[in-house]
Amino acid sequence: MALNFLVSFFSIALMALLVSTNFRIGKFLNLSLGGLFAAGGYIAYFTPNPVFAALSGLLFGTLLSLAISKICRSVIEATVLSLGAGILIERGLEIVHRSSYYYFVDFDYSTYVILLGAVSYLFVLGIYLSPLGLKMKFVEEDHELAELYGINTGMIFTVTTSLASACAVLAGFLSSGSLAISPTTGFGYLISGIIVSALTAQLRQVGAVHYLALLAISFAAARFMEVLI
Amino acid sequence: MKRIVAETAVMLSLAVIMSLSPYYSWLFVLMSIYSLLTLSWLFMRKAGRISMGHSFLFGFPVFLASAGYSFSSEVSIQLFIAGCALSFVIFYIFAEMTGRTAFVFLTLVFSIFVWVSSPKLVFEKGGYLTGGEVGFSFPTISQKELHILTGGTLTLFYLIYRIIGESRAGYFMRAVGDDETASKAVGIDLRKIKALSILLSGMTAWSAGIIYGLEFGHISPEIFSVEISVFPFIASLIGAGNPFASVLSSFGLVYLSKILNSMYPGLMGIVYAAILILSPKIGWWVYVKGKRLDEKAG
Amino acid sequence: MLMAENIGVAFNGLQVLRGVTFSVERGTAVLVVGPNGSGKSTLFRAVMGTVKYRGKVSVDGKVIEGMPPHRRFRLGIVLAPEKMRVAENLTVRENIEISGRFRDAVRIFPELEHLKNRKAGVLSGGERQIVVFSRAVLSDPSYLLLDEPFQALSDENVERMISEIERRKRRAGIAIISHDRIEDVVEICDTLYFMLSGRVRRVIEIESAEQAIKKLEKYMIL
Repeated sequence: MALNFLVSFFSIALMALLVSTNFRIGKFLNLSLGGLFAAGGYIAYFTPNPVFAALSGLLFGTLLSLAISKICRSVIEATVLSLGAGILIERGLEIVHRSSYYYFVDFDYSTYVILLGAVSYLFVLGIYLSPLGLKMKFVEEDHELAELYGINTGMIFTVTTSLASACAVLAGFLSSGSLAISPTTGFGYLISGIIVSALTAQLRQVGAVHYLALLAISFAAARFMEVLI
Repeated sequence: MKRIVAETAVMLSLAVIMSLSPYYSWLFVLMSIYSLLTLSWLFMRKAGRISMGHSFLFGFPVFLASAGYSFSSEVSIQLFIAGCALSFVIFYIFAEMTGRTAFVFLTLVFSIFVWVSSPKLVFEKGGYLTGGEVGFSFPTISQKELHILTGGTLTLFYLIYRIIGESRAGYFMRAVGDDETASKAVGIDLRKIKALSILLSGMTAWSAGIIYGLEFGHISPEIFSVEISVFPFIASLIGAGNPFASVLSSFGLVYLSKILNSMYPGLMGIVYAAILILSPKIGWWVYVKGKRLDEKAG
Repeated sequence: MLMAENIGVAFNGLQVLRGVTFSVERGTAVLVVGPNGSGKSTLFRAVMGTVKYRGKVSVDGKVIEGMPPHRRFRLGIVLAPEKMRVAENLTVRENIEISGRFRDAVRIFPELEHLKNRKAGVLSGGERQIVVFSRAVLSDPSYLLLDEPFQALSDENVERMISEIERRKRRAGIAIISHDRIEDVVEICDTLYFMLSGRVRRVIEIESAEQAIKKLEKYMIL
């Protein structure tokens, strides 16, 4: 019971972290994370290799960030592009694996989501508490100002989007054992992450404090959000 | 005025031609439903609000009505009215609470939330579970009646859109859409204009929802899907924001989806995804073309 | 030398800069003046690479076309942007420490010590201005571009700022856009650029402040 709660809590907290970092650093609402989560489930079914899952996410995230940097001029354009990318993944999965709508895997690594969530938070908090933290806060605040003071915002954007995408695929991979895998599996997780992230943003905190608040609100909201996932 | 008459004549001619075969009649109804959805979206965009969660406005009242239909027709009608009122209030609150960018996010996230959570609505009726992912049944009418009803509804709302566009209220909507602060400064009541655009948008979407229910005789949570939400955005993008071109592009997209999905199920989803991905590139072209077409139409 | 040659900038088809040539050498200061909309700030933004432009920008003989702003910063070009632009949710200390040691800023403006933990978004105009200026000078630039640095400042802080600019001028090239305190700023500058409608209309070598002001008064009301 407690373990199930922890899995739900960390699943929601992880998705909230990914949504939040993408929005604060990349300045767009990454709606492809739901599709990537679902893709993780399919990878678990067809190629049960977590390294492959993480690498595919990394590659997708890099391509997504490059596409956004190249053709988008506003937060809405970038968000719509990421929505298109998310739909592309889902429909791609549906077309390629149509023989049966739901898939089930015969292993259950879902408890490892706790580890993935904890490591992700420690990593982000570590960055914000290190000398790099101030640079990250500047990027969160104002991209152009950060650029004017020597911060390579393009690189930070690409790294953030790529790592977030890798984490989303890995989370889907690890959660697959407790899910009926379908192209829309990730939407519940994505929506939970967006809701928690939006609630935390109301506190108007920056840096490590924001991410700690994100963790706390995920904990408080996990019981209600379980319905969605 | 001549232009409006000509455009309406084209739509009516299409309605007549497509009534000749049962398949094309069915297709015409489907195309008209999506065209109404696009028109509904355009009403809101006129006042500067881009909704990416239009499936909620379209699907919510008819979803509730179909749930109510499991009990009786009276409950169905009452729930439909309640659904219309609630969806109007929710969108109005969103428009009041948020700026233009946040409105896009909020409507999109909200519609996905409703899509994800609506399968949780399950209840027992006569010893059977109803609802869930399967959804609820809805009454139907004959194809001929449906064809006339749809053709009439599309023509009516198209004329309303064009006539309002030329009216004082339409100019106010455009002014609010261009610059809310400046509109306020010249004495336009923002709340009234926003409420009017959402109400007109809602009326169009609710009618489309009812026709959708009558066409399929069944409503499932898929009525809230992201693809339905983004459809009017895509149709308007292809139609360069011009109402007539957007109605035609809605027709074209529905026809294309029938062709592509019959070749391989889900293929149209890839086309939607590609259009969304390329939408920032298409955006500037659409803006310029749309302005030109609007000027010509004006 | 920081050199911008034949710079052209257009926004949505509207030509904002038309073939502007501008330069500043280390050890000198230049003042850029002109009415609103004459393209002064856009010129600085083009030099810094935050807007797309035609033409050539070079620093110490090295052409820096296509270089993003963060790389131009690393080459020693620093822009203190207009409109008192600060990272509003960060503290004063954080705003300054992005480019140098906070205690060095306190040496220039002692009142920063009391403001250090305050969020920059709640500061007054003058307080924001000293944060923007401190942040720019602490990065030890080779070329410093100051866009309206004296706006909303008290006389005392204007004097501190001017003396800091004079001190920095020994090692760096400094370009200043200003509408305020032109008489004082001209004292420390060597060249004056007068811009109008996206062009440089007049370049005045400053021999004395009076002579420069006199020449400038032919073009604008000071």
